[in-house]
Amino acid sequence: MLTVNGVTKKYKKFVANDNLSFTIGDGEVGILLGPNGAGKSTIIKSIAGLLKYQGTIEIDGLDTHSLEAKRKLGYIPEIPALYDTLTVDEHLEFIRRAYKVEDVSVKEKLLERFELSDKRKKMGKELSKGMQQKVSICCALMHDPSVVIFDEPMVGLDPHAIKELKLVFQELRDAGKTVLISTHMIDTIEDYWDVVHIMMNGKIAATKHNIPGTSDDKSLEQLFFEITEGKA
Amino acid sequence: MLRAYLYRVRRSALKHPWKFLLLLLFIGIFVIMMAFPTLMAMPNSDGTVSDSFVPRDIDVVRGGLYLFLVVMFNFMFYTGLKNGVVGFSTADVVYHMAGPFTPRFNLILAASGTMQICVVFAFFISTQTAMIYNAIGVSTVDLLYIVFGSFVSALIGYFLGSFFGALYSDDEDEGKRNKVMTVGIVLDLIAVGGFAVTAFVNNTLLPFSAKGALAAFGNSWFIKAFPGGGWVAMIYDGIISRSPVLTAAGAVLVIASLAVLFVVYTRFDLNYYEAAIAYAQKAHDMAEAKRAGVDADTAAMTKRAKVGKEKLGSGEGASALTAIHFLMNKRGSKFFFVNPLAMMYRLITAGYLFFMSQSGSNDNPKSLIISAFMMMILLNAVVYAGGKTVTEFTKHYIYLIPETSKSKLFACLKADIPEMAFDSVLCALLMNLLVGLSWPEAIAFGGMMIVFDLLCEMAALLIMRLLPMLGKYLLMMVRYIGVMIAVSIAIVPLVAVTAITSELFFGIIAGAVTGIILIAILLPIASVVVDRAEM
Repeated sequence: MLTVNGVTKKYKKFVANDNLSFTIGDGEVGILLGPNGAGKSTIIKSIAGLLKYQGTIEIDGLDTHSLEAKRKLGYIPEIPALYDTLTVDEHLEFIRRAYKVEDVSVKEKLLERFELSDKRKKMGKELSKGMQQKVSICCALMHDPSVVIFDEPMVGLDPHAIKELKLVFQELRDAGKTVLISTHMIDTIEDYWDVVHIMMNGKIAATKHNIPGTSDDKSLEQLFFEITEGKA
Repeated sequence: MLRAYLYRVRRSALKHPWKFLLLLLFIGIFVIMMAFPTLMAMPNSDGTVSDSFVPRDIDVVRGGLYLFLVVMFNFMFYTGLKNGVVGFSTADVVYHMAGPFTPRFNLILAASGTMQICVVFAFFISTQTAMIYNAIGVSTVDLLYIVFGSFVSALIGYFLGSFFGALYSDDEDEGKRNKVMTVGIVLDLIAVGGFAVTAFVNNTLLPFSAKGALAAFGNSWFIKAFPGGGWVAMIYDGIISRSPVLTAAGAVLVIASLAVLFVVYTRFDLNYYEAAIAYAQKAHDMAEAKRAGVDADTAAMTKRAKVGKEKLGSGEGASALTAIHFLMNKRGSKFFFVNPLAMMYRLITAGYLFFMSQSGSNDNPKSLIISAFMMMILLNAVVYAGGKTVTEFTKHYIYLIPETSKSKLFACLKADIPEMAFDSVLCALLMNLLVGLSWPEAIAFGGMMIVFDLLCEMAALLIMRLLPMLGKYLLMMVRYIGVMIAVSIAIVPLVAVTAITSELFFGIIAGAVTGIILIAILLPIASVVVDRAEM
């Protein structure tokens, strides 16, 4: 479970996140939806422990800066940052060892799944942005985290990888994991979200739950444009 | 179209007013650097000249001038050949190449980018004034021409190289690009070989003397005739050797080569857009990587890294960081204890010290020791203030790894110690063999270098983590200034103890001990601060 409670993040006078609070439960896919500059990446980075903030963020009840919380977290940044001279295989091996993952076969499974087996000897600097993003995803999933956060994960991926990633989201949910995805592309999330927080100017402007069997008068798209443009 | 471009430049300047302050700072540094020889030549109150005064020898100055400009031409020619048409940003590509502008106008944009590169190189040369002065005893006017000539020489070299680079920019043109490179290398060999043979025949090279060789270099027609660099040097050579014919010949050749380049660039059916777009994309990717926290300080050194038989060593948890750092070293230099950038700087230092030791500077050993000290410390500050440990803490992985900040920092430092130790052995050897320090002094110096390297890392790490609000450019400058302040604090007791005891050995020990005390203060702070991420 991921709990964000009263988180405020300021860059000098600019308030990027203004008293944000939300919870994503186990086995839920939460979406942070919002236009560019809404503060999605800021809260994602705060959850990953990469920013200082006011408020509390907990991963399975543990402070996000604690080592126990770090063990439970998987983070896929918007822009992949790989080591130039390490190969795909070495990146995964490095993460496997850094997180002390005993099961060596996890690496092979991830390489296979994201079609990276034939690229395992390629160095970070030799990979396209999409390939780097795949490696980044594999690294984040290597230690079987209970909370996985994705910052704009679809950007730069090919259709196959997008399809595979959507399957990963669903599998993570089915395995009882907490998934949080930040995106501004509404059409890419239509089929797998459980809760959407629409962000505007650093705040959550609306929250919508996807409850099967219930009919809602407004679609996600309608609600989004109503909030961001002030019209349906 | 020009108005649109100037609008962009104006807006950018208004948004970054601190760039003007930086420009003023650079101009100030430049003026001080250029005035250095004049200051050195000023007599003391008793009419004597300073101990550090190096008398000017016109033949050596001429040789040095030719050498500098020919090397600069070559360096920029090969850089241009490798890069193709550069200087375009993605914005240039989108708004200019895809816009209603002629290819000729768009080339002017590339030229402005190229000129910026050449200005940066010229500025870099101007910062090396003390070294040039100590090596060949130049005047302020000589220096000004070396810097100005380097700019012109670099410009010709870069434009020529990038023309061929753009002309043969496709992958299938690699063979043609290699042929151009071969022609360049053959020209270099003819020039150097021809000079060596004639100098040997005329007995100007033997008995071996670096200054003698340099003087002979300036008198060789193989060098004078060298395209670009040789011709630019010829103009000033004619002035100082009172040969108007030489000056006129140089001027005509330089103007002609610039004219030929202009004609070639504007008339030739040059399909450079694709190459320019590729470069712009590369530059954009680097900027993106920088934004993502991937420091490019050592990016150039990773270009040639290739996957070989090297394997990731053992290590779990934080120790996995040590293992990947060793692996990256192995991939870059074949040995886990060799930092490629430090090795390159050590070679430059060795070359410089070899020249200095052969050029009569032993008459003033104090000046040689100070030059060697400063060069090694300054270059190592660049290596370790922007090294793997410092850059590691700009990447997000390290913060996510579930280990304490202390263990992660120590794991990174553990990987640095062997390369620092190896580098310090080289420093000690150079200090003994080329500078004349006794073995105890040289060994103590080597030990002090390890301490200073660690000190540079600690200071850089603290500044990077404590002052992220400064923004990347200012932070980069402040980082180096902070590192130099930390090192300077350790140098004060070195100088003081040496002066009091008249023994350099004790001075070095005092410097090293001060460095250790500073590290002991900074290390605990750093091990806490590094985990206070703000990315």
